[in-house]
Amino acid sequence: MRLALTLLAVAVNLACAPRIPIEGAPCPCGDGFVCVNKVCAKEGGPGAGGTTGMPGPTTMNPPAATPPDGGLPLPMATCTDPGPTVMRRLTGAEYRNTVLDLTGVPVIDRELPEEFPDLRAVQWSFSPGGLEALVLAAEDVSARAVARPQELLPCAPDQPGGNSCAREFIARFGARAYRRPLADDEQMILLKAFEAGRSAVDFMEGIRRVIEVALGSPQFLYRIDIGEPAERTGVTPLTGWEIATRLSYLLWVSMPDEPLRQAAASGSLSTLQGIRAELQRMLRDSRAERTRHSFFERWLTASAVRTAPKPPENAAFDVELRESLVTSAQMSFSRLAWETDQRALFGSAELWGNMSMARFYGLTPPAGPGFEALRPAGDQKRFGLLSYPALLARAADGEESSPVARGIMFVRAVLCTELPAPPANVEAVLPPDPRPGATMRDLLEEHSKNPTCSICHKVIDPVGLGLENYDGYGRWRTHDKGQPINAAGRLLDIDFDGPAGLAMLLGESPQVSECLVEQWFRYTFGRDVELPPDGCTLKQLKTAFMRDGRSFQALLQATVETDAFRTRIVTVGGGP
Amino acid sequence: VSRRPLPRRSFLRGAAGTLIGLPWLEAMTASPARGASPGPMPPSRFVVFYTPNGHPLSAFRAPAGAANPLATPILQPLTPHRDRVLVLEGISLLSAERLGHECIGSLLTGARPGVSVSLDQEMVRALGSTRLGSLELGVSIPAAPTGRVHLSFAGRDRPRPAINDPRLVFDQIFPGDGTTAAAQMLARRRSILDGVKANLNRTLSVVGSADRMALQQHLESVRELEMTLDRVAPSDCRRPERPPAIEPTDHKNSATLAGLQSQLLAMAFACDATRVATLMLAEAGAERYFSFLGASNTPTNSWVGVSHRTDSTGVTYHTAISKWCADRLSELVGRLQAIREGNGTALDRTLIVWMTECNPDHKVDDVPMVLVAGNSFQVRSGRTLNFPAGTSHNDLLLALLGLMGVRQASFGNPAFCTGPLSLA
Repeated sequence: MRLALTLLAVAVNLACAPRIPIEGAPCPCGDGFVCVNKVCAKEGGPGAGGTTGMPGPTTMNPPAATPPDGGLPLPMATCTDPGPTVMRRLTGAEYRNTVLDLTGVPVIDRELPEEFPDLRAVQWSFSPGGLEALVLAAEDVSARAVARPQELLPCAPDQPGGNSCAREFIARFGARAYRRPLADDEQMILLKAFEAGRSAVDFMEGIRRVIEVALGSPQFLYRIDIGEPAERTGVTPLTGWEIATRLSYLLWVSMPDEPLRQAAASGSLSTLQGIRAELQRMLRDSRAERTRHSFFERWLTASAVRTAPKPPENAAFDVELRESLVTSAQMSFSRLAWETDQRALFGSAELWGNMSMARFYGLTPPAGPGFEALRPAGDQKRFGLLSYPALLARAADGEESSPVARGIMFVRAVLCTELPAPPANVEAVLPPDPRPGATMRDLLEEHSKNPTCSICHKVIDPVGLGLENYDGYGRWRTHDKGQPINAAGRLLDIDFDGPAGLAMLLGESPQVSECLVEQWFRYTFGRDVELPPDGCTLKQLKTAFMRDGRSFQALLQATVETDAFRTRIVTVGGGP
Repeated sequence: VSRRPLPRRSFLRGAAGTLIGLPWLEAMTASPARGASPGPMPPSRFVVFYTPNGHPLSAFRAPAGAANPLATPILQPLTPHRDRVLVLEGISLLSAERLGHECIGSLLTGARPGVSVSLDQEMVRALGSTRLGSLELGVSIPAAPTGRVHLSFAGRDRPRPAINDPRLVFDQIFPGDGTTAAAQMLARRRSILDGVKANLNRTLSVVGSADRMALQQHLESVRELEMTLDRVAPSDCRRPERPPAIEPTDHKNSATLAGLQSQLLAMAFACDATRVATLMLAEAGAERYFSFLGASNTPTNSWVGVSHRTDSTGVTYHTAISKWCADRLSELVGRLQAIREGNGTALDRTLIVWMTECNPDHKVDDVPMVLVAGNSFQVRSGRTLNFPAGTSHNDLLLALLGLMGVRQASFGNPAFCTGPLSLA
């Protein structure tokens, strides 16, 4: 298996070999070219405007000046409209990571009442209660940060009368907190806070107040993209600072580090080469795993297994094991699926796990005490995402498997099929088994008899029934209540037999490919639903994903190269 | 009741399973400023007590014509307060324009879920300004912007999430850490907020119109927070010790947390830190497990699970949970009654409405509601009031506003308002 993965990785690398930069050549295209109708065109050139063929109401600003490193200038829009750029509030995880990176002290022992994991909320403002929690958290953080002055301050504290060290701190700390250099008036606001603290108490109190004002201000709490100054309505490139911020929150779920800030300052992020170079550097950093975990969590909420109801009699399924399942799902996704492609997402025979998981699920025990990629023992089979115990155990009915809950989870997540809520008068809980010995499949037959039910359940039930080889904990089984499992079904007009067939079907399905891109797009751009202009960007991403062997690495690279990631629309008159 | 004031720092840390109490209520009753001289008229207050997943109506309602509306398996815990209780029948959540648990967002808005300002926030305006405009208290409410976790709204897409951690609530009621003088702490916070406001204002001038709206709302939140600092807590309000850390997301702590939140609510009223509060014992559609049922933790035995069951065991379980809720309400009423104020108690001028978002079948017609009205309100309590089928709950919201002296023609969606219900 190790060898197979290595070979796959080589194949992916080959697919990413440099492309020949010739205009009119068939895609894939080299640097400075974009793929338009399967043919390469110069970026920003006449053929490259608007792959959708929509007459854009926008005009384009002149390209930015060639940056000092001699790279190509930022190519202008290939999609006529990058879609709306919305201010995004830091999520709970982003806030906590950023505070730690910025001040060196973690947010501890605090409930942040508005720590929303969901996408819709990134566009909300804070309620007074939420704000108060942030004010209290900032008080706590600043107190602990100033307890370590040698790490916090770039200089010796000022004597009374002087403020050069305070100014230096404000310029440096402020630029990191706001993720860009401060304007003069912004420096003044922080200096005023410093002076108020110093005159009330002392120098360090002034520093504390600078930290607290910064942590409470919109420049810190929201990611706001203004773009390069523009005089006309149209598409304008984001500043290097804004691109650095997008890269770091996308890849690291936190603020930019020093090298990324330097790249922003040097102007290199206004070129594709500059962005690619940073992307490669950042991907090598261990923080890059945060994004895979964070995307996976938003996509499939594996953490729900922590509270999934299970009979207390099964003492082995305890808090520790539940926590291991969350880690297992994250690592399996991150290391087995993300590193390869769509097929591996549904096909990987291994699971990351530890000793207690190996015992409970019958996997080959790990060599060490921690997590390792484990093979299933005996005749049991695993098929990547479809067989992650965290997901199977969370979408279950207590100890029993729930084909409906599993079906709904996967149909929404990997087929992007929207399912309406069941009619109000429907019992959400299955009626008690009317025929002793009836299987789950027998019970769900009711759905096909009733046309109101069958609309949704003809898609939901086959997916769930195809996973009946896993019990309510996600353990492999071949029999249920003495009867052999029948896990055959038909989905997307294709017959499949059991989880292997289902995994193969989903691993190859173009609908799944499109859905994966859409899920990733929503995560990246903070949308809960795509908007009309997003169609062009989505098309670019889908093309890139399919072209490069449906590899997630390629999708990530394509994402940071889209216009939606690097530009914004400016409506002069209606706002900057 | 002993009148001996308790020591300031006498927070009782209970052993596991025992009730954790805040003995300040006791101390408060002995407070000379409120107790001895009848000061100015105490303020009116409004509480929304919310519990999810409906109730089994057969165990909630007394038979028609019964002398005692509280002689039912669920409402029986309210018996000590019978004179103050009014049971409402026939009220429908028509303005939700939908069925099911998401109707929680319509209970106080009188409109489709979460699209407009909620009644508690309207009450804040009516009842005069206090340090905290309102308190939103919750018990293990998940942090998710789904339509099932929010009861209170400042406006469309502007939920005011409930705060689960009693210590955070405590910090709001008692600003300051107990060592620094509170006034100094407040001055400090004010100065921080000055800087934040300056940054908000300068950012407002550089963003586009959509972002500007969100920042305007943020600025409003900052101003509201600022107002809480400008009014100092009354001097007769004793500061007890901060509650111990209790993991607010662990459902095993539900009973302890519910008790603490209810005590903090009473405390906030006693200190006049706020006059409006919502207390959510769980989110709509909550899947919680109650060990007192003695049932296995399978979904069909969860709160929402039993609420949808029609078998007799399921109904028995649901009844037990609803009764547990009534117990919590009765405790809250008892706590308010224990606070002496002028010539009476804090309950006299408090109006409590107990609401749930739908019936067990997800339907929202004839949703049971209960009013607990202090004796200063023009409410003929101690009985059941039957409204004709199809009575819009917007009219109840209008009636509640009316009891607080606010007369208006409509609240929420005007299409569902015909005029305030008569409760007198």
